[in-house]
Amino acid sequence: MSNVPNNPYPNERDLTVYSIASKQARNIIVVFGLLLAVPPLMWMLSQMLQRQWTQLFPVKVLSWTPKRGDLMSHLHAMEKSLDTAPYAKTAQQQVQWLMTAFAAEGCRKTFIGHNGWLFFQPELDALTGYGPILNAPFSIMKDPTVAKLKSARQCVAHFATQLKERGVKLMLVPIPVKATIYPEHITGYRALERQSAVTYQDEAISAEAPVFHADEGLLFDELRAAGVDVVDVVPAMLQLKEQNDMLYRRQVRAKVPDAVKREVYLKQDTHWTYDTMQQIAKALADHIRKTYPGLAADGPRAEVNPRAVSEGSLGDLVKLLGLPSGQTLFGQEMQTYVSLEDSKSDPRSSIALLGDSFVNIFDDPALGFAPTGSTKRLKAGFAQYLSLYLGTDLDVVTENGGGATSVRARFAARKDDEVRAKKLVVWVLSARDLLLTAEQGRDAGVTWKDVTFNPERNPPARIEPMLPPKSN
Amino acid sequence: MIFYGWWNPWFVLLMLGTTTLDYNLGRMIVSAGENLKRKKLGVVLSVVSNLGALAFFKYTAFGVESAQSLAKAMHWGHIDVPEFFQNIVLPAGISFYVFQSLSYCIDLYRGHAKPAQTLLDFTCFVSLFPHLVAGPIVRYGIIAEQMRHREHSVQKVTYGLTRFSFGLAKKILLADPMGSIADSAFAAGPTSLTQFSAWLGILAYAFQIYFDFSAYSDMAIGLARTLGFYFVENFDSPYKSASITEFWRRWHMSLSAFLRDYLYIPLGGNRAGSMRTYINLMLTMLIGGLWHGASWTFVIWGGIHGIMLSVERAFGRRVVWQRLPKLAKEVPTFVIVLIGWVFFRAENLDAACGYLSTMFGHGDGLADPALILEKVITRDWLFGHMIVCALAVWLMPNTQTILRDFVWWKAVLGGVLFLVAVSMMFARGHSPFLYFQF
Repeated sequence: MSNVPNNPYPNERDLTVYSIASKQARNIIVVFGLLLAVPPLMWMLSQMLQRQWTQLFPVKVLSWTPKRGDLMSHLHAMEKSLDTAPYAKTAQQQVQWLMTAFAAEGCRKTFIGHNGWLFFQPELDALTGYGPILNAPFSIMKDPTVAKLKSARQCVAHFATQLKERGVKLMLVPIPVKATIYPEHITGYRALERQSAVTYQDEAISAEAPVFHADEGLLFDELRAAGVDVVDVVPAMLQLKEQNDMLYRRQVRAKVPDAVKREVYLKQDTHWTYDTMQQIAKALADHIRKTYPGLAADGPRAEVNPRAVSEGSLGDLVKLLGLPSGQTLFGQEMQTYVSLEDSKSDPRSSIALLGDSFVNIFDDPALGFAPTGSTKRLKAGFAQYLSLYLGTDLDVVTENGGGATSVRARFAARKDDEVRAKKLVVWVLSARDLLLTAEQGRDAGVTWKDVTFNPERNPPARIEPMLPPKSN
Repeated sequence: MIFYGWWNPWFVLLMLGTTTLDYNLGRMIVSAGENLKRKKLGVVLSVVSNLGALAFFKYTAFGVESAQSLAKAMHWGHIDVPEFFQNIVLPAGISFYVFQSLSYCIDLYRGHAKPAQTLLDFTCFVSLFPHLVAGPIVRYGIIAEQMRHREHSVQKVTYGLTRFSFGLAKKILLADPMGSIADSAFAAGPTSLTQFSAWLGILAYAFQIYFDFSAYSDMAIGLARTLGFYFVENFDSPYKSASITEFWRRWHMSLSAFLRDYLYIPLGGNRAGSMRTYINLMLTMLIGGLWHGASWTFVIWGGIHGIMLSVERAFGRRVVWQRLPKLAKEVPTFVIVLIGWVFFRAENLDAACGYLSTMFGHGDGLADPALILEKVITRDWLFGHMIVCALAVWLMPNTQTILRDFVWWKAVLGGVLFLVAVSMMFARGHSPFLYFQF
């Protein structure tokens, strides 16, 4: 072995010419070190000045004991916590502000369209992806778990079958993604314009045709064949959009000062406007009255305590951008709504309403449009209005972001006799959840799981023995 | 070890196991002296154990899936296999460190390296963190020499930090935005992809994989240099190649050299006639393709390159081809590389064929969402990045050329790029390096 050359592969050698002075190199190393060290050191110093000793990163890292679980998970959690450290957050906010202000560029969750319209990126993925029918290609090498993910159509059909076995009907109301109704704010032109047959007050109007996923219709047909009453709200929304457009054009023609265009969806939020929500609640109430006779009262309930409120919200899509708190790129979107203070959820109602944030908006203060700091329910949401138009209370089960599985699981966990007491389940959820492929859904936090109904029953109500009246 | 164990500490044991085995097999090869049989036994055991470990972790699920598909196609019924075999997790970097470990025994057998003096020396070589998970594939002979004698200087440390910063900037500022276009295009449903989007998507992927992998190599080379090590260069402006043969001299150069020295030449190289040369080229590229991933798409990718290498060897020296201007040779070469990337990126064969059909105008017909997808992937931010990528690929020198004459202002530029890249990483997040999955 003594004759082995030092480098048997002569092409593998350093060709760099180092034309930099030692002093310059040393200074650059120091600056580089400071760049790396100063932000976290400043952060820790500020924590020390505030006497937050237990929050110090080294203290948190060293605070691990076997009782606190897996060491690696602890370290990974610590590593992730650095991403949310104040200096990281400040950098993130400032860079995002620059990109949004000067390049109209959103983030991984928010797509910035034209004319101030924002869109939820997973909704665009749902619209353009493989969709609910075709199996999206996957590689067992890259991720063997994908094959085990459940699809929306399997879960919905199975849920409907289980309800049917218990004598309960399922009405599914997919709320279209924003881009279905407003494609022109993404494409930037009216390339999708087609003559619409819709007329309003004898005036023929045209509007952008809606954009559907190619297999959306097939999915709904399949679900209908499986006994699900799928209600398509797109025509009603389009009609509303066309009416709004026409009213606005008339205002402009009439030179109405401060003409305001009403919209079907909020510009800066994934959800519908109050007007749309109310109109769809009314349309669904009519549908229920017609299709499921006997479940609703003959007419709407007389609301004795309505209260009009005007409040604004930045919108969930602006919040997802993660801009600095004092940003002025986006203002609040105002909505005027009427709170129905008398409305309440009734677990004994024969109609159960399952839903996600589309049901909760204008009710859950966390979704905006609430007075600053208020945690009181707004009572102007879909559940309240559906209940109003049906003239009966509803059994409401909702969860923001949990429309696909969580609300079903909560409903199915109820005792068997409680479920069998229902006649109809109205399930309102974003069409996005139905259209995403299993893998896309998992990445977007929408996981479809099969739920199995609870077979247990409540104990029979105890009958008190009849006692003879006491005689004086 | 801490770096590697951070992801999954159990796999440290696997790496230590293969390392200890190869160290001892190396001793066996060296102690065999002139006993050729014993030397051969040592090297054969090393090849079998290393490739066996690789085959188990990387190719079991693929083998099961292929056998099941074949049985289905031949109407033999379903082959039941315990679920364990379909859920084997691929240890990070196994493809790289197994090759490096293997090369040690082969180099000892050939007399290209001196044996490691201690197990610790050899473990240091295998687990040297900059190259551990995604290369460049370094040979023991070179690193062993540097472990014993390496010169430290502030200039080298500054160069290392600068090279690292250039790499980070390439990854965050160029590769990740391109990845977003490619991901959208490859996730598009069959009726959502226009011909234009399909070409844009694969072009973006070509940029992504180049900037992503060459960025990792830059960072590895830079980190190594701060520690006083020299690592072999891995990329040399591959998309400027005028032929596939040249492409493989410029793309993933450490792998090309490894396949040449440890596979193509032992198979006989070009010493046994034209036909045998073509077969050797094909075999080398097919195996090289399979090394990248356990899927038929990678085999086809390797096959395309193998065929092209053979064709170029057969016809490439014809005068007409040689006289063409460089650009006229670069364009078709790049298009062939792009077609190869379709197989490399697609999740499976059906998806690759569907994507290629769309690229060449034979897609499934279009639905309205196609316009939305086209707009999303051609928005100003991404399109601007694509132009920058194209300029960097075809008009700019590569990183090592820029830094070859290392002067102060290049180090300052590196610092600026580092700041911008880190800020952007906080704002946009980042995707994992593509080659981690191999």
